[in-house]
Amino acid sequence: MTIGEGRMVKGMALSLLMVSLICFSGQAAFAATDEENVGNAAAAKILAAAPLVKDAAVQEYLNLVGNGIAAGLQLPYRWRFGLIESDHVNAFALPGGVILVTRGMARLISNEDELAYVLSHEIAHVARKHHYKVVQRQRLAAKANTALESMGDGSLKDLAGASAQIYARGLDKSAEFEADRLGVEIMTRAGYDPAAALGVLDTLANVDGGDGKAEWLFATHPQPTQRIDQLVNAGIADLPPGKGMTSRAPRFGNFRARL
Amino acid sequence: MTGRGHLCWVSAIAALLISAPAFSQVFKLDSDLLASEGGTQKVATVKAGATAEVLERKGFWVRVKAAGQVGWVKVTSLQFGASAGGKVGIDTGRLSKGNIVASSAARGMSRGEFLDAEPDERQLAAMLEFAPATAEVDQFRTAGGLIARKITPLSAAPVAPAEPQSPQGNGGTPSGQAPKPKEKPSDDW
Repeated sequence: MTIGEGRMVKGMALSLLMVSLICFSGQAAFAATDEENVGNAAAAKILAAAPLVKDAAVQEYLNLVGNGIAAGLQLPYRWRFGLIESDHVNAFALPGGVILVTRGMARLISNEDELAYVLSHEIAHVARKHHYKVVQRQRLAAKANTALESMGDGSLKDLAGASAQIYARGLDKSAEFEADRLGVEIMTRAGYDPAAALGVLDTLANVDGGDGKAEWLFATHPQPTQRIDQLVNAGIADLPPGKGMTSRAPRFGNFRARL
Repeated sequence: MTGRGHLCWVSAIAALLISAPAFSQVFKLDSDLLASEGGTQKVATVKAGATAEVLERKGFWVRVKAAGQVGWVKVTSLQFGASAGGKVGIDTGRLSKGNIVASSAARGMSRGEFLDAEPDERQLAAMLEFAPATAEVDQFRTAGGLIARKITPLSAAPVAPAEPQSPQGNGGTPSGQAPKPKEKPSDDW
């Protein structure tokens, strides 16, 4: 190989490296932005049906609990938590880090540790990209579907319309069980009492299944008693209990009184 | 909607219409009923497969009525999903049927309302107003007695509900002890 040929090969290699870096970084940036766009679109649709509760104190408290849990995970999301005006019992995890909890769900919760479980379950969905992966799979598999094809264009309305279907149908049971398990781990690492997860599921198990307020939740999640069994079988009773619950009681009481 | 989608809806509606007879759970293991949660004083021994009426729960301990006796067992002794659908589990007393209103009276967001809604970007932007500073979050955690800690991850292996079993001659575990999951995942956050 001559010196000139060597320079040419080096130049080509350098160009390939630069192109690779640009593509990789571009793809990474697109992926992050796209995940957030998908989540924001779905969140905007949920918020249109059930707007934020107009009470800064409850929204700030929810964001302090949620960000306090998420801070320990060091995941690349801008976490936002919102309490929404709906008597229905539900909570939503949106790709990119938006978590929405209905007033109806919040009213069922009896202490901050139980709230931490609800938020941690939703954080786990985001962390594992459960909904976003479904969007990605549908983009690949359903090219004939006009709504899904247009998701690539990033129009908020089209994104929202297509991703909304995923929330209406729900995830696989396995994703819900995984969010339960990881949610319990996340809240326990943050210092909360893992037994509070069973408290929430106890309460949900006592909600009348035929009542319309929980219909969406029950249609998209495994039965609460199955979820308890899964957590017990996974070893939840071996986790360390929470401490300092009494110090959290007054501030949760203030939150609860405003619901 | 696909055929599978129809099937899911039919299944979901059917599940909602089935009403469970009671709050009964089933003992997975031969278990000692104890006089207090975490205590050592035995009230009675209950055989695997017996039904339990769950009265209350404290942490990972449950007070049950079984075989005419009342006592405490660890949650690992019971299979909570044993009842067939509907209203099951521990009656915490937090809910009464009087707190549940008809769906027509519930505000906001049935699935239909959600699917029909036009996206509202202003509401989304408003969420950012409530994002706390890192220092505020730290102060909040400290005030609440929250200390970050390391834990052993839970088992990721899907575990089928355990069949009730007796310790005698079939490798069962002592009272109050569930079979330990063997697989431990690495959920390193």
